[in-house]
Amino acid sequence: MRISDERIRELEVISSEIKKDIVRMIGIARSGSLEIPITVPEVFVFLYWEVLENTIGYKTKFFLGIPECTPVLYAVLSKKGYFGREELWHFRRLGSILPALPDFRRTPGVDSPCVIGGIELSIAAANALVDIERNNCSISICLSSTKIFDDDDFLEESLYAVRTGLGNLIQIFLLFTTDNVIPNTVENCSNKLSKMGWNVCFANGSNYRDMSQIFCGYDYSDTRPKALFLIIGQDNDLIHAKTKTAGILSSMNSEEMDIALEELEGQQ
Amino acid sequence: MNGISPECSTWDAFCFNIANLAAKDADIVLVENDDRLSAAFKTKIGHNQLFHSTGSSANLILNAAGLALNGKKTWLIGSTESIVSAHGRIREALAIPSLPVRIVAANGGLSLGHESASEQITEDIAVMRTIPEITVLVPSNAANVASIINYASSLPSVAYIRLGLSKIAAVPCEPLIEDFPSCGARIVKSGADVTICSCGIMVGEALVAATTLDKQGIDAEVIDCYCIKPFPEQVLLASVRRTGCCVVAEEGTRIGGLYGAVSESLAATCQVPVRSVAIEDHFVNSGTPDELREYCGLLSNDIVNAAAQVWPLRRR
Repeated sequence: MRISDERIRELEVISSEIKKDIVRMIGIARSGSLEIPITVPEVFVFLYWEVLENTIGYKTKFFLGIPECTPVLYAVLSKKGYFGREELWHFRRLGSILPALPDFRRTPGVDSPCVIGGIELSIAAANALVDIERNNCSISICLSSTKIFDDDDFLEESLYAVRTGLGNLIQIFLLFTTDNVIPNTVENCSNKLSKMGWNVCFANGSNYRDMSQIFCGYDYSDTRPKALFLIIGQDNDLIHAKTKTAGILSSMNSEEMDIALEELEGQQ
Repeated sequence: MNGISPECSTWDAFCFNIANLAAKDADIVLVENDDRLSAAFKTKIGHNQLFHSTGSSANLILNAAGLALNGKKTWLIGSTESIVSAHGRIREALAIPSLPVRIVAANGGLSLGHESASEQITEDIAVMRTIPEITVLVPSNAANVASIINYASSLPSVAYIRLGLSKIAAVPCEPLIEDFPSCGARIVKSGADVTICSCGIMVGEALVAATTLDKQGIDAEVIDCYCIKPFPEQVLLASVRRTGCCVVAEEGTRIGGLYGAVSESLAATCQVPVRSVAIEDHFVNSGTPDELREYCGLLSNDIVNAAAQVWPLRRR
């Protein structure tokens, strides 16, 4: 089903509000980088507002394999009503339900632990296999960066997903680029996945219509696991805030947070 | 224990018992990445109950996490070397989210004696003990393995079970002195002069040592400390308050293992002389397991010597 213009406008408003929440979270926490979180809310908004709740007849589970995207996940879960918005301002604080990495025992709406430097696909694939064995109508969506291509375990696990017929598994790769050019390593890897038997697609991660077309075309009775490469452009976001918070040790002060919020207001 | 010899290795006893348990419970799944290990139970359990993980041992841990997240009663089986090398992943993917995964190390201690030091991991208990909120279990012989499996099955979070490939003599336990699983340790021989706190294969050696000590007029009490973490402090304290001294016997490095746990406990509560019968701070070369145990000083005679040293210093 084609996504309507009106629905796209609704999603754009939601993602704009989420971006502001992310800036406030990281600003108030005075900890963490904006560089990645500010560029991916559209992907999360699409997944949580269009896929996770609208895939009729299927239960969806979300596996976050990019630790830097944790603030985005929290902002989205808050917006979806899993916990109050005021919890966001306690991000990374002692006693908060929102620690630096999602804790699925503590944070409402979180489906799995997020591992640093590991292959989240390994957790998601094992989980998806159990759902198939139990005939559960369930889809496992795993979000990773293309960094995992360097890990030998990734190809092993990808092969395993094909061999076991994990058609209920969607592996989304976020491909960050400034010039919309797909690097050779990514192209090689997508070709490998395709040859293995994965259903491989590319889409613009900032374009709801593009993402919607891909998901509308998915057939979950097909046993092929699905790999979706979402290209994330980095040319139209918060130049000041991202520059200031690039790198793991930097953080925003309140003045920089205000500038970042003004920049976001200016983009609307 | 029908179907296996009481003197078989704890690994063989585990394979027998887990296959029986899996036959009764379809939710049990065994995750492994080593065909040599899975061959022991491959034909005895359902196809869907064996998950062969591909890739590294870190990947094995993540697969186990995925299965446990979806409600499977997950038993992760691997060589001690592969499990210890995945320490960071165990911490991150299993211990922090507190997933009920039972990690079974098949070849702990010196039971892989013929291999090099790189595969003979004697520090596994020390490594696992330092990860917060993990239970560490070491069955002393084949007869105890079923109880250890039942105990581990009831735990809500990660348990590490150290097994061995060497055949062990059955431990003749004084009946009904302690409930097996509830307190973490049991007194297998009562005595009044020296406490010998032991685990795993060393419980049998401790009992032989106790017989020798008895002939020398020293009445030793032998504790089978099958749960090293959480440490069964009350059982140990009750014993050393009577005996006034302690010998710790374990098939592992003396740093951070059972000796570490005993020393930490007694330093805070009841300061008595303690001696260790364990592997010193060095790597162990190749040899047969029996040769290596003799070389490393892990025989009953070594326990007797340690007890004879500590007994005159006892504090009551």
